[in-house]
Amino acid sequence: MGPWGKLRFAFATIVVLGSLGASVIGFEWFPFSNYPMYSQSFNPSTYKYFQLVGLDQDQQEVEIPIIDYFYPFWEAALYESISRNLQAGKNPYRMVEGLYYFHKKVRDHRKLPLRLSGFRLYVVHYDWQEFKQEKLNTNHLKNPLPQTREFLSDFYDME
Amino acid sequence: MTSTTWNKIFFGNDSGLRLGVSRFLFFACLCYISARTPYFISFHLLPEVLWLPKGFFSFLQSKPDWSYETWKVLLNIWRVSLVLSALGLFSRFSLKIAGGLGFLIMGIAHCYGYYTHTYIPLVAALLILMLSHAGDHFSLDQLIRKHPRPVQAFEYAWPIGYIKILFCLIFLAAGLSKIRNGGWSWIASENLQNILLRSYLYYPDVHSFASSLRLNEWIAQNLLLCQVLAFVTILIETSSPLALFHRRIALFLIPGLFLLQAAFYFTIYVNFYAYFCLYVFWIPWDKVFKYFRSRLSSKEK
Repeated sequence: MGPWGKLRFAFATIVVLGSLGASVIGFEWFPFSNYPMYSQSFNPSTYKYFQLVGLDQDQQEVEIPIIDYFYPFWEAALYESISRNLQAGKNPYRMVEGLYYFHKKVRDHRKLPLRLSGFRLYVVHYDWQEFKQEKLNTNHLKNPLPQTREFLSDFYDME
Repeated sequence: MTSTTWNKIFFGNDSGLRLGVSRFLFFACLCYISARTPYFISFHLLPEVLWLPKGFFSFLQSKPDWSYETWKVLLNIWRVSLVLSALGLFSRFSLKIAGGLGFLIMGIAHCYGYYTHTYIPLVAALLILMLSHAGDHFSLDQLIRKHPRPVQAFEYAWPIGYIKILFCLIFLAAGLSKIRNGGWSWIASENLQNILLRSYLYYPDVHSFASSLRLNEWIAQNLLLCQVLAFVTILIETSSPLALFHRRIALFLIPGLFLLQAAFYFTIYVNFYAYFCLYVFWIPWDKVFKYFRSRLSSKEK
């Protein structure tokens, strides 16, 4: 193997060793990962989640399918992104404002049924045992409502 | 790793056909993934405020100041390079472009606070393949080239060996993470039962077919079954490196991992279809071809 061949092999070895290190030591540094999804034991008493609702021209709340309005994010992906950005100290108002301008940019191209004038972000809490029992016992397709809903921020375009 | 296994992985008498067929299937899958939806290009439209770079991209304080058109051109170049890499045309260049742009495009998609682990293994595999001789066989380059390049068998063996190691490391890492972060309670508590039911909140808007089956609810009714399944999940994931050592173990473990990922889709609605690109490296295509060739010739006689 020539010097160029050795260099190629060395580069590929770094990729594999990086992945090995991420697995064994347990770090995440793109493109290496320890694949931690679902690794925490999930036994909460209350479950905290987010809820983003649209605001129409009269500032009335409208439920929206997140995947249609915020693709490439779907609901869980958007809320995970919001959660990580909040942890990083980002301003929730700026986030909701950014999401509104994203909506404004894509709504015509995506032929979205609603031209929303703003968004409102909530933190919701579910009583986990109650949620669980309802799901296990009642066969309800619709999710139970959250126990509490706490306002986080909103943005409304006056135009 | 024993020296025999090491030799088998890296110095095996690989003809290049196996790597060539695997390359073709890997890039064909990737072409399908990149062309099926506008997923990767849509990230460029996301608001700056969600920009949260990670790993290699941490040095980018703000999202790249490229126009949507520039981004679209880059994505289309990547798509063309994927097609050329699948066909094995100008492969010395197309593989490098596919690897470099794949790293950039999929990397940027990880910089908005949501880390989709589905694509990380593909990035690593692309980086390995970009420097390999994967385009020498089962390719248009092979048809065009009058005199084949003299290449040692080792050059065809190591990319497959490395991607197989990488594949096992993904599952090992996932298993170890569960042990490290969840511990015994990941198996013995109501953890999996809770995870199955959380899917109703987590993924209400994706994978409507899988959720319509309501398999998660059916499994969640039985706590013991949930605990057994949690144990089996960790067992299969952590034992995945054994597939590297013995072909017979691999014959059980690799389909087992495939079934595990299919089960994830039908119960917690996590879609790992991108991993199918990597399963192709486990199949000894040279032997499959040889078998069918001998069957054909015996029929002709």
